[in-house]
Amino acid sequence: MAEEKTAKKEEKVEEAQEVKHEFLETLKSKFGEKILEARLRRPRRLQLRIKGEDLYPVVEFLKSSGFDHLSCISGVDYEDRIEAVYHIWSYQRRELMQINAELPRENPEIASLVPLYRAADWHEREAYDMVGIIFKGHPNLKRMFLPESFQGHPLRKDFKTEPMSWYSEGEAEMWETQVEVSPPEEGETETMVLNIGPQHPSTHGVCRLVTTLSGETVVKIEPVIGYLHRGVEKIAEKRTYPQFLPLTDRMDYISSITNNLAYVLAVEELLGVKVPERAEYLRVILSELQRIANHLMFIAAFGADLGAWTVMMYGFREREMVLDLMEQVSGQRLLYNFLRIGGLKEDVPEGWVENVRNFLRVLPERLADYKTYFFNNEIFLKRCEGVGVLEPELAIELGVTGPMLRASGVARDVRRDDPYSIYDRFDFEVVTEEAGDTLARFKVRFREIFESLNIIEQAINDLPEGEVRSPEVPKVIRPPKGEAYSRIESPKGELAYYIVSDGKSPNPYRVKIRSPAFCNLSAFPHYATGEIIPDMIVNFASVDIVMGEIDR
Amino acid sequence: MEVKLPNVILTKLDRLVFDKARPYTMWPLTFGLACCAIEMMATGCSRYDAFERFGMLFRATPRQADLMIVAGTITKKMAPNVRRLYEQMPEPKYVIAMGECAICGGPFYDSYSVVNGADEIIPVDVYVPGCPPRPETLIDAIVKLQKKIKEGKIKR
Ligand code: SF4
Repeated sequence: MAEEKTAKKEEKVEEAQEVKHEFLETLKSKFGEKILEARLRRPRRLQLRIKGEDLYPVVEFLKSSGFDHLSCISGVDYEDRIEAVYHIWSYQRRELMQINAELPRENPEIASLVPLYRAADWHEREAYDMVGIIFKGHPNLKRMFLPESFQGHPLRKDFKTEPMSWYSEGEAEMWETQVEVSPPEEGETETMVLNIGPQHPSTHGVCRLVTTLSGETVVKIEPVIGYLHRGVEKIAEKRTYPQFLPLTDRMDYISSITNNLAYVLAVEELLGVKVPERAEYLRVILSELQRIANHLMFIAAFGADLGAWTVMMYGFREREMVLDLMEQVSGQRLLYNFLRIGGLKEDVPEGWVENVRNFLRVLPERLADYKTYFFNNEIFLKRCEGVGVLEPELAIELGVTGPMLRASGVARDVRRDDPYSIYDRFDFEVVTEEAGDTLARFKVRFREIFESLNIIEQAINDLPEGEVRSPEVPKVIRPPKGEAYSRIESPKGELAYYIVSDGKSPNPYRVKIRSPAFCNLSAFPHYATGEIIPDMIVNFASVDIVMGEIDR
Repeated sequence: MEVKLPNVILTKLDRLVFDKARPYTMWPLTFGLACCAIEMMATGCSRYDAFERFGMLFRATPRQADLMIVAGTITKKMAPNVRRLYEQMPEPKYVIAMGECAICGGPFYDSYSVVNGADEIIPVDVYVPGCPPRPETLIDAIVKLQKKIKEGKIKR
């Protein structure tokens, strides 16, 4: 069956994909029996199925063949077995390898990939927490979101949730999270432990940083997350495909359209529907507007963290302009829920395009002022320049994506490398900065606003007339059996939705969200240690996190 | 024996003076939990600028605050902290539950890790519906709370 499919696809594929197929052949000849299945799911998406115990050598070989970016690790409980699912992207070959490693349900043990990819650290901890896969050789296999005393693994199919669970006093004790801090070793100077968060003005929500200080220098940071863990991936299994859409808004609530987009792209891939042209263009316009709103919010919050309250006011003033445009189309200010599977909720109102044009004119004028506030401001420069330098090699290894990676001089952008929607039709620059410090991260985001304006302008000029919702989409959505992994470039980095459909039910079998801020945050302790404590706040602000998306 | 009382009104200084002043100097705690917090920030920033106009000044520590705006989803992991923050605030203190999540768990009502409403852990004075509530709605809630305080309707 699998061979048949591959053969069918083969006829269609052009030259570039032949090469990919060749790679699968290489794999098959190298590993022989160990590869249970190897196929090309669609252009740029390869799939492998192996047994759990063969994982390490296969991945080692993949890494040496250019698969350098570990995008995501997740687990799926199939009731008769558990699958650990790995998504590894190769920037060089521009394809994504999905590896399904089968594990027995009673004893789901698999080799840890931390020695190969340091990015695997947090991903594996999450998969352990949620699905209960045990990663042998992981240096610190603790639960990621839930407290250690939590019973069971929520994303197992036999984990039953109550329709309404009341909170009891006894529970409070269990959920209270203690962090053990090891005393200094002999001969070391005495250190001090400073607990920042979960309620702290500069933690952007409910992140907690357990920081060890030696004098004023930060020697160790341990982020404790999960204070906004709402169990969305479990809820998804109880909702139908369209019902889950509003919850995606509430993931990354600062840029909700991009979350909608990633989700609907995955479902559309499963269904195999084509979206009308006009809807595609409007999706691009909306996501770029959202990117602008996100970056303005970043600038505002960054200013506030530096103590520059004025900047906060300016940032919000400009952001309100975007919110107005969004409100005109969707009626909401923050969480729009405007995209639909197969298109958009409805067409944009009359005169909206003119309003966008107007916005394109006004925003650069306003942003011109920002240059004075920031780049001529000695205090700002002093606090950001050379602070928190993230080396490009380390950034790649840790799976950092988005503006944070580009600020380290690595020009990688999903919009260009793995184009989705219609991004391949636009001409834009992938903004990079060389320095890798906090200032560079700020500058990249600032300059990206102009690139987004540029994309919006191109999209508006080509905006076709016509339908905005595909008539092919059925009323009750039951996608055929299969898996889809949609990656997009959200304002924070690579956002991806991995959806498994069992072909029968109107609810997704499994939804896994690869959150960009989650991986970016995992890099934060690496570059912020060794610096002084006031710089830590600046460093932390420059990650641009949203807890809703990190904790899910 | 008959006791003759002099012609006086018995009241608390609290009731007479402070309750009249309190509504205009509520100091909320800088405390955001989820999406609603973004709208809370928007309420305080340009365009709406609603907090300072009402004499409200965000304080970063609970010990200087007397109003808690619960803006967002309270998860079970966060709940003990929310309770502790509330307990650290000096009396008299008020609570606004902002958004569906803080009212009843909102879109996450059937999750294994979400507390179904702030009132399960702390007493709430004003509920603000919406997901998220618009800034106008939050402003309305603040006015309602002011009214409640002035009329002495808050029982402690
Ligand atoms: S009520 Fe809605 S907007 Fe507010 S925190 Fe809950 S999900 Fe987010």
